[in-house]
Amino acid sequence: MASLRESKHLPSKLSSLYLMELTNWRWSWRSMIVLGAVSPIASVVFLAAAFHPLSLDDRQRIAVGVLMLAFLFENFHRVAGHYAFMRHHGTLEYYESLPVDRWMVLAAVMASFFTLSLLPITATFIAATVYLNLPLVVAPEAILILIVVALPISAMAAAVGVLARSGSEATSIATVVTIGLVSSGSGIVREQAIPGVLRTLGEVNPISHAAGYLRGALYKGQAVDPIFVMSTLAIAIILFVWLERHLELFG
Amino acid sequence: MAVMEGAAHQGALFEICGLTKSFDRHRALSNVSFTIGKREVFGILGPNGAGKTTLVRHLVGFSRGDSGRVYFLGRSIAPPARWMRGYVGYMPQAAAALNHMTCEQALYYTARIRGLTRAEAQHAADQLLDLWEIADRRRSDSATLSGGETRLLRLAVTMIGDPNVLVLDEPTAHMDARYRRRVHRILAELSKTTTIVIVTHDVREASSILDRAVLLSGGRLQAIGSPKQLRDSVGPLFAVHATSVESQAQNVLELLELRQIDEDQWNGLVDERDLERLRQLQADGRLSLTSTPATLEEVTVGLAT
Repeated sequence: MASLRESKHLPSKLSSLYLMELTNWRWSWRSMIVLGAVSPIASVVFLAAAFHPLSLDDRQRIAVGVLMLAFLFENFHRVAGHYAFMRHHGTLEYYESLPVDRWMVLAAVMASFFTLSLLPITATFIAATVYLNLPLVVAPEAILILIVVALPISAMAAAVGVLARSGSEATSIATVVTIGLVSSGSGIVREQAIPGVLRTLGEVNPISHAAGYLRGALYKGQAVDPIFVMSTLAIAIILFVWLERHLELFG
Repeated sequence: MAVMEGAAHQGALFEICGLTKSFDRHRALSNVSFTIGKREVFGILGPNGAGKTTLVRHLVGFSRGDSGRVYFLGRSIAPPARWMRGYVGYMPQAAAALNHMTCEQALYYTARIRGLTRAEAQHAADQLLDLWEIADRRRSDSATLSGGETRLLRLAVTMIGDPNVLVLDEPTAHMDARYRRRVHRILAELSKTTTIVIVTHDVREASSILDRAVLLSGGRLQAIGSPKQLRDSVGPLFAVHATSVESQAQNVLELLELRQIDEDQWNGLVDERDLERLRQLQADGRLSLTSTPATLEEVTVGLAT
C-alpha cells in the first residue's frame, strides 16, 4: 500500500501551519485593539496621573511595563484561549490527524500570534513613549528579546489551554498568570515598591528580566545579555520537548 | 448475542485484538476484537455511549487501550502513531472549527502539509470544492458555514491528498437529506479505491453502502457482519405499529415489550412467532396492525437495547 507522499519539507509544513494560524486575525483583531492597545495605553495615562511626579526611571518602567502587559495579553492570554478553543472544537484533532508534530503546531501558533501582536505592541509603545515624553534610543535587540521570551510564554500558554476544562477557565488562569508575571520582580515596578515575596519570585520571572533588558535596549541602547537569551531559549526548548512528548492531548 | 465474522481476516487492514478501555470507573470498551479488510466500507454502529468514538480513536492512534492491541497493516498502533498519518485521513466527530480559514485555504494548506506541490494542492482543492459542490463558498470563512456545509468541507479536507483509508466519525451529522445523499453517493464512488470506516447513527442510509459493520452496545461487541447478516443475526424481525388497542390486548403488547408511544399507539420489534400472535389479535378485532420487515436501523436499536 502506497502512503501519501511523505512531506519531508519542514519549511513547507511550517509555513502552511503558520499561514493557517495567521487566519486567526479574523476573530482576534477587535480584542487585539482593546486588550493589546487601548487597555495598556489607558494604564499609562492612569499610572502617570496617579504617581505624578515621575522620575525618568519611573516613566521608563511604566512604558516598558505596559508594553509587556500588551505583549502578555497578545501572546500568553490569547494563545491559552486559542489552544482551549482548538481543544474543545476539534481543531487540535484536525492537526493531530496531519503528518505534523505538535511542536510544529505550537511554533506556528506562537509565530502567528507574535506577528499579530506586533501592531498593538508597537502602537502601545509609541503612545507610551510620546505621552511620557521619553527619549528613545531603539536597539534592534529589542525585537530579539520579545521573540526569545515569546517562545516559553507561548509554550506555557499552550499547556494552560490544553489542560483547562474550558476556554473561560484557560483565559482566567492566563489572566492571573499575566498579572503575576507583570507584578513580580523589579523589571517593571521599582524594587523598593514591591513586597519581598514578589521580589524573590521576580528572580525566576522571565518577564521581569526581559523588561529590564528591554528598558536598557529601548532607552539606553544597551545590548542584551547573551546568557539571558541562551537560558530563555533553553527553557523554551525544554518546554517544547515536554509538550511534544508528554502532553497526551487525546487520552 | 451471536457474533459473526465475515471474510476479512485475509489481508486485514486493521486488526483489533481484545481492546479494553476505561475512563475513571466507566468501561468504554470491553474486550473488543474484529478485523477490517482492505477496500471495505466498514460501519461502526451503536447507540449513544456505545463506545464508537472511543474505538475509532484507537484506530487512528489517538488513544491507548488499557489492554489489547490494535494493528494497522500488521503494525501495532500506539499514540501518537504519526507514521499512520500518511495513510489515513481522519474526520473527528467534533469537526467544527478550522480556525478562520476560507474553504479554499483549508484545502490548499492541508494539501501542502500532506506533501503536494503548490500546483497540485491548488488543483486538488479546486477538484474537491467542485466534487462536494461547495465551490461557491470557496472564499467564505469556514467559521461562517452552516453545520452541514462545515461537515462537507471537513470531508473534503479529509480526502485531500488521496489517503488510502478514510476514517469518518459521524460524517453526516447535522446534514439534511440532500447533503446526506451527496455524501453517500460520493463515498460509494470512493469506496472502489479506498477503505472507508464510518461511525454513524445514520444506519438506514449508511447500510446501502456498507460492506460490513460492527454493532457496539455498552462498550461490548454485539454483532459483526454484512448489513444482511446483522439483520439476520436475531432471526427475521418485524417492525410493528399497533393502534386501536383494546385494554385486554394491551397486556399482550406489554408482554411483547412493545413501546407505547401515544395513548392508543404502540411500536416495537417482534419475531415471526409474536407477529403471528398479533395478527391473531387483529383477526379478533382487538387491534389494528401494520408490520414491515425491520430495517438495519431498527435491528440496530433492537440489538442494542
